[in-house]
Amino acid sequence: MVSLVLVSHSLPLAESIANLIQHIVKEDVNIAIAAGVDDPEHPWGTDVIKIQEAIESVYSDDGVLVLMDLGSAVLSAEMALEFLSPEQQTKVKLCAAPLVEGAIAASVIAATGANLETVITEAQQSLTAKLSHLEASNIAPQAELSPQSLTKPLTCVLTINNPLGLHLRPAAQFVSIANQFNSDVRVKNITRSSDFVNGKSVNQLMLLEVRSGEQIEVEFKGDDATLVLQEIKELVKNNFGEVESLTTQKPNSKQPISTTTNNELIGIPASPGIVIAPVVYYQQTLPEVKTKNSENPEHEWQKLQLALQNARQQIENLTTQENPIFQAHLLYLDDPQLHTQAKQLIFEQQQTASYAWKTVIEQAIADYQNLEDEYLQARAIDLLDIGSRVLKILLGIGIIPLELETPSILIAPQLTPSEVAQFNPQQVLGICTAFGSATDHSAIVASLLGIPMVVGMGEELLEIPPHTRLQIDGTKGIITLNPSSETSISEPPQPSPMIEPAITRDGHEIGIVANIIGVGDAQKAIANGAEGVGLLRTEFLYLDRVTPPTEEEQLEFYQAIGAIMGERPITIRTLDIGADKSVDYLDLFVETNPGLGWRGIRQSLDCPDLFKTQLRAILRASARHKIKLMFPMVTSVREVRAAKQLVSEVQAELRESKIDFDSEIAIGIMVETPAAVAMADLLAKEVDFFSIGTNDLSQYIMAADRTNTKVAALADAYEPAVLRMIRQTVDAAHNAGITVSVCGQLASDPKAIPILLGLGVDELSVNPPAIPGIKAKIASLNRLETKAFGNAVLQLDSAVAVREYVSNIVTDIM
Amino acid sequence: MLEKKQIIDWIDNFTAVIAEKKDYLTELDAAIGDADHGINMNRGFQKVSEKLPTVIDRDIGTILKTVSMTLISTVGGASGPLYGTFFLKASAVAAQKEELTPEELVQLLQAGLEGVMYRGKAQLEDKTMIDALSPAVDAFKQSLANNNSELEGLQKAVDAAEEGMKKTIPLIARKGRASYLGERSMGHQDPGATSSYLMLKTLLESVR
Repeated sequence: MVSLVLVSHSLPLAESIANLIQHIVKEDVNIAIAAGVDDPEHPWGTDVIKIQEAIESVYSDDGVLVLMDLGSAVLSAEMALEFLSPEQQTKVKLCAAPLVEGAIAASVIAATGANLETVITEAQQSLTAKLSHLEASNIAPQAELSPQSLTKPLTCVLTINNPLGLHLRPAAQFVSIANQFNSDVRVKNITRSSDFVNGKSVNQLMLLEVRSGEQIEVEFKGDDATLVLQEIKELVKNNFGEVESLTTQKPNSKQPISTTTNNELIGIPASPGIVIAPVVYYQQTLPEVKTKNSENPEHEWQKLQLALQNARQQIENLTTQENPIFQAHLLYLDDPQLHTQAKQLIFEQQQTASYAWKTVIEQAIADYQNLEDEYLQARAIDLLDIGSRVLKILLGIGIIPLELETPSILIAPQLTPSEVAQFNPQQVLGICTAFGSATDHSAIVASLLGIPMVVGMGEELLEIPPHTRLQIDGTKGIITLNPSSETSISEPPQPSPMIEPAITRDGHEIGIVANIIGVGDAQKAIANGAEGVGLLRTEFLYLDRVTPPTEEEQLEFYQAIGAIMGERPITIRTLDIGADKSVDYLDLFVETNPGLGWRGIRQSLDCPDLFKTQLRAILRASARHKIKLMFPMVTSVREVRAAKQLVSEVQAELRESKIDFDSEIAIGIMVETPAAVAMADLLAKEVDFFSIGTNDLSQYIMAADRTNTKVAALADAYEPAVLRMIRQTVDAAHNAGITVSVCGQLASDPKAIPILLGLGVDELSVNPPAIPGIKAKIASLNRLETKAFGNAVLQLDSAVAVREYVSNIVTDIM
Repeated sequence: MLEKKQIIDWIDNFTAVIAEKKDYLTELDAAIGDADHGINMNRGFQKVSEKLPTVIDRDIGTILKTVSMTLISTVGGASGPLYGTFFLKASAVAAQKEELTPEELVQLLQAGLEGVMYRGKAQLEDKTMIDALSPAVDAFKQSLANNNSELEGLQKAVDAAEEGMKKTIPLIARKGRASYLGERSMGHQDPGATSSYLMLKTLLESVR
């Protein structure tokens, strides 16, 4: 039988409740009391240890329900729970029911032998009977008791006159104003005699289905009721800023969009090509949720809030310009109605965050679909979008691949680069978006995939009926509805042809890859003939933000790069942030010597959670793209082994969750410290490749801080000391049968190329703009001759001498 | 560097301060709470002063944990679990330690603050202990980051706590019994923020 523990500030009160229970429930119920404190003069209070002991005194595997009065009783009970063994914790529940009603209801049901869940549910419902008896139905179900409920409400009746009625944009404006004030705001549709709903919920407001000419009653309750009433009146009086009727409504004047004829819409050309196909709306689907229940509602609630926060961040990052759809998405995320419903499911039915969220979103979508107004029905798509965004964050899954029945032109408010990246050009023949600009990364990805795209068409794009035949001209930025059948279609443009590989005069090929930081220069790298990415820096993902990037966010980023690179390899360098940067969520104390401080692999190994999140994202990206993994600032074999150990752990976790990744992923290190050079023979046995970072390597070998102008010139990669160490690294790598790349500035300097080739380097990772010059340089060299230069420069005594030698030999060749 | 002796002095001195300010704290609490903050804290810390001599040879972590366990079973009011959690989380940072570096002291206070936030689910400007503790920890951290000494840092922390405590006067309480008063809680200084300020002030005086 489930036992009860009564926690109260007052011992006589708790004892009296126990007495009352004995009187009402004739069967024996196990009840323990933890009430009052041992102070004769001031006996009121609660005691954590007493509560813990009370729980243990009546504990059985059937479970214990703890009921408490208020204030410290709640805090003490929560703390007492933490002192129980983990096994006991799962079978002891704190109950939010009012003490007297809850205790009696719980005892009655416990005496029947019901299980713990049933007892909790009954106890929590114990107030309902009383509420309904006392005409609590007058109180809206979501209304919380607050000081505001003490004051008298103000009300006003308003007529809605704007053409579409209280649709998305007006509702969003209404809610934004209501949220600026403390007062409770409730709204009812008088014309349709609806109930009052929460005026701070964009959902509930839209579900009132208020059309043009209908009347609403608005009630304001709270200290600033007069102010908010005034603002809302003003908003409605001005027709929510909508002056023109629907048919002549112009989109945002900031964007160069215009309707030329009834059949044509003009937007911004984003990716060239002409195609004709039926229209399909890009629609997210809600992913499947497998786990329904959780033992720890508090944790699930926290998880949901975190996911909502992440979704908010994602949308804010996406919204580079005024975008009313995404603004509305942000309001949905903050919608008190959705929150309250999800919270109830989590706490009262022990649902997981994802299950509860999916239930709430599905219900809201159904509510919209049941409306008469077609425009409002269509808003279900926004809930689907926001619902699926949050669910994907909760479930830690990426983009769900799009499946189309027939090849089509996609219509969407706006798309992320990673969404576009997963489109199949055979299926998605064209893309039109209501918002966005030609410089968006999604436009760049579309042009790489050869999909014609027009962006910034305005909201009227979203009014085109599905399956309409459409012609999209991505070159001119025009779409034509129901084009005449004579209109010819040109083939989508072919991707630009491959630029020749870098081959020396004697037929030796040198790999040329690129140093990049993001999608923008990835595209430039390809255009300039890069054969892959030799160094993808990830630092900027982590800068200028208050929380670290999520796994999903990183995955999207890596996948977007992957989509651009296609089959080409991408070497991702894990985080290298030092004390010269300010990152709120890392405990970066000011260091006197950041270059010699807590950065690179050192910092990553000290922050395993942060590091493993990045490793998970990189490994997940490796499932579909050719990814190589690289660790920065390595100084010892121990560090490499520790990092590899974490990689193995993450791989095991992914395997367990049945998430795909490349189990053969190549792992390499940056060689940028003298220690790594000295240990290169042993390090080479641990990894698949080396990449020499000549910038840091130079400053560490020469003991000269690159940021100190007095000594910076000493950190010169042409110093024979540096060149000797490069040779040493190459020899150690080749002895162990692994390859060496150079990714420092030296590799982007055409004059240095004969030396690097001479020292035996296999691959150069070059800044995108320098690629053509470096390739041309290689084509002018003879690999055998460079060997001699390599040997010769190692015998010189200064950087000056090396430069002089190089300029002479170069002249000889040319 | 903070020696174990100074931690013991801190607890001893804070016990004395609470005894001395008992009526003042209770008076503050009478305006917006149960009129028991001073009484409760004093009962808890009197018990602490009885228990403390039995553990003064142990490490700082054990000493702080003893303070915590004593408070949670004797204070009675919400300050029991709240201060109890403060010292419990702080004790984890000081486990096995005989002395604390300035950085460790910051971590200790930070851990305590996070514990209080977790336990009470309160935020800044809810008119609670957090309003004194949170700016104090931030100021301490900032001061150390600027290469100031531990004493300078603590002085900054105490100044920030005092400012935070005074800032609770115009706030509307959003947690605890005072929140039932709504606007009527305005114009009164929060007793929890006050005792938290006194705790930090005593720490500074014990280190000096």
